[in-house]
Amino acid sequence: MTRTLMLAVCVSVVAFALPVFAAGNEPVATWGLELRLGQYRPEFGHQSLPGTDKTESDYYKLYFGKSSPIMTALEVDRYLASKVGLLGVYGRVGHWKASGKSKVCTESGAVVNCTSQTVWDGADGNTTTTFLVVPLTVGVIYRFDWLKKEWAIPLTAYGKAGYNYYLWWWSAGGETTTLNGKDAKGATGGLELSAGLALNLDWIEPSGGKRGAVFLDSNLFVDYTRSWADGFGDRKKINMSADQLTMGLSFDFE
Amino acid sequence: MIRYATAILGLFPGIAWAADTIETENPVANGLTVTWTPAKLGKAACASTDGFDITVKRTNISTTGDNPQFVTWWPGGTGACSGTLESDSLLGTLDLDASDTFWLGSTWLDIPSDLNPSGTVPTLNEAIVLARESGACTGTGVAGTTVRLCFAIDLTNNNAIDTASGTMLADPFGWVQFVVDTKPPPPPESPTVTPLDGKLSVKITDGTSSDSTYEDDDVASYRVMIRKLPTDATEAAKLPAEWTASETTSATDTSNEVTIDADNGVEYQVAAYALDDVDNESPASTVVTAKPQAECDVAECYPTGLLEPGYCGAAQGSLWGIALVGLALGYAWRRARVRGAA
Repeated sequence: MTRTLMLAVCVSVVAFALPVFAAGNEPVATWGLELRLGQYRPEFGHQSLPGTDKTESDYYKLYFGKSSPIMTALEVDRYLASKVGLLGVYGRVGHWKASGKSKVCTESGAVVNCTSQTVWDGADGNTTTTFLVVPLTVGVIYRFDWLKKEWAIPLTAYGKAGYNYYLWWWSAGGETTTLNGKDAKGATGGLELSAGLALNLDWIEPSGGKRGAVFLDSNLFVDYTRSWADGFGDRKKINMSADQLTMGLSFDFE
Repeated sequence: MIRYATAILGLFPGIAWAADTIETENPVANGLTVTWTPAKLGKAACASTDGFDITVKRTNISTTGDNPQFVTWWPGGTGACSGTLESDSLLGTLDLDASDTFWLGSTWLDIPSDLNPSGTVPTLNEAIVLARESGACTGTGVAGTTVRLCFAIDLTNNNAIDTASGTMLADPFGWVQFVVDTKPPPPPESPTVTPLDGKLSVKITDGTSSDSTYEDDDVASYRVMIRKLPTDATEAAKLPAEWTASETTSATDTSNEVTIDADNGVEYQVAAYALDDVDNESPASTVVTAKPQAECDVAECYPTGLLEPGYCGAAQGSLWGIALVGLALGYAWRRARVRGAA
């Protein structure tokens, strides 16, 4: 696993270091940066929980409710070609956290230990329990900026396809808790597809697109992402799959 | 070679510096370097027989001959360590002749153990120093006062301190200083205790007081002390100062939210204290009671065996695939562009 990750890192470095090919004297974007914000809530799983009429998804809701906390992410794009639009690779790291309360179970007025069956009737306790997720993604990106270049229409459509790897941690009272006798942390891998639209902001930053500017283009974007992150069908992994609507700012650099 | 030594002890009257500077090294002008600990003395020092760790090293002075040189220590002094000594102000002297390794730059003098090596080493401890600082250990105490111990090395005429006139002459001199703070913070307000799973979380709010015995706004850390609530009413009514050490547990934190381990289902008495940066401890807050409770976090109540923590072995194949596709894609575009350019 370590060697595979090392190889992936090496390949990413090589890909990011490849030169961009473009004709003409127009400055061409070679790097991109995205600051992303979007709601996220993992599907968590659809298996039935033994001894109850509940599912894994219900268990998530029991602790963390139905809200969808904001995921923040930083993405770096490296464009490799720019004949018709920009084609490149990207890497992204995100951060997301959901918090809830541990459960307290009572029996005849006395506090007793909860079980996986009785926890459903428990009340909120005082200890905060947390679900922290750090998604890592690498993939291929294509930006169709022909409308902007040829017709000065400030819209760029784009699509991405990537592999994601969701690192996760469960904690209680600020300390990693235990699951089946092990630290409650792990990871789930999967794939994702995105489609989005970016509104060019040159009208706000007129110096954009010229040589010597800090960045060539800035965009306000919104995209839809569907991820299938269930460990490729591994039912013992947390299912991190989700539909995600994300918006943010992107910058292209020469 | 050590010729003779003498030891007397005393303080200049009225020593008080406003500056609360904490230093433990003093590259003194006149060719001496001094290091020392501790930097601060609290109320506990009033009864402490702990000594000081003071060393002196020559930096750029040299002996002028075979005349005796005297390391002379006396507590107190103004910023320049000058003035008139009280009759009992001389702590001790040490005769360093020209062959002493001190002059070779390799020897640190340890004070006071190197003074009077052929006789009785002068006693210099925290209680002695504070006893000479007016009000430090009596009355309402002092807050942030600086006390100095001065010293000098005579290079010329064997009288860096003229013990007859009590006047310090213009020879190399230096000092070590300690900030003295013997006022504790006032007792905290009644703490707010939140029972957790196997723990108590105690939130403490600083107290204020018009009592000059205490110093407001001088809290550096907090201590929480708990004990199981005694079943005997008389015992349960005892103040924290009367609790026996064997029945108590303490936790200290610089945060005003202190978490302390405790047993679920057991009722505890909880008292909080505030401490300043020299560990002067306030009196106890009022006592409150709380009982930790069993709580089930997201992992503990998950059905056993349904979910396996750990990292994803299935990732290997996909990582290989993506890596190769990315590499092939980049290479293909590069070839295409090179052909186009040709």
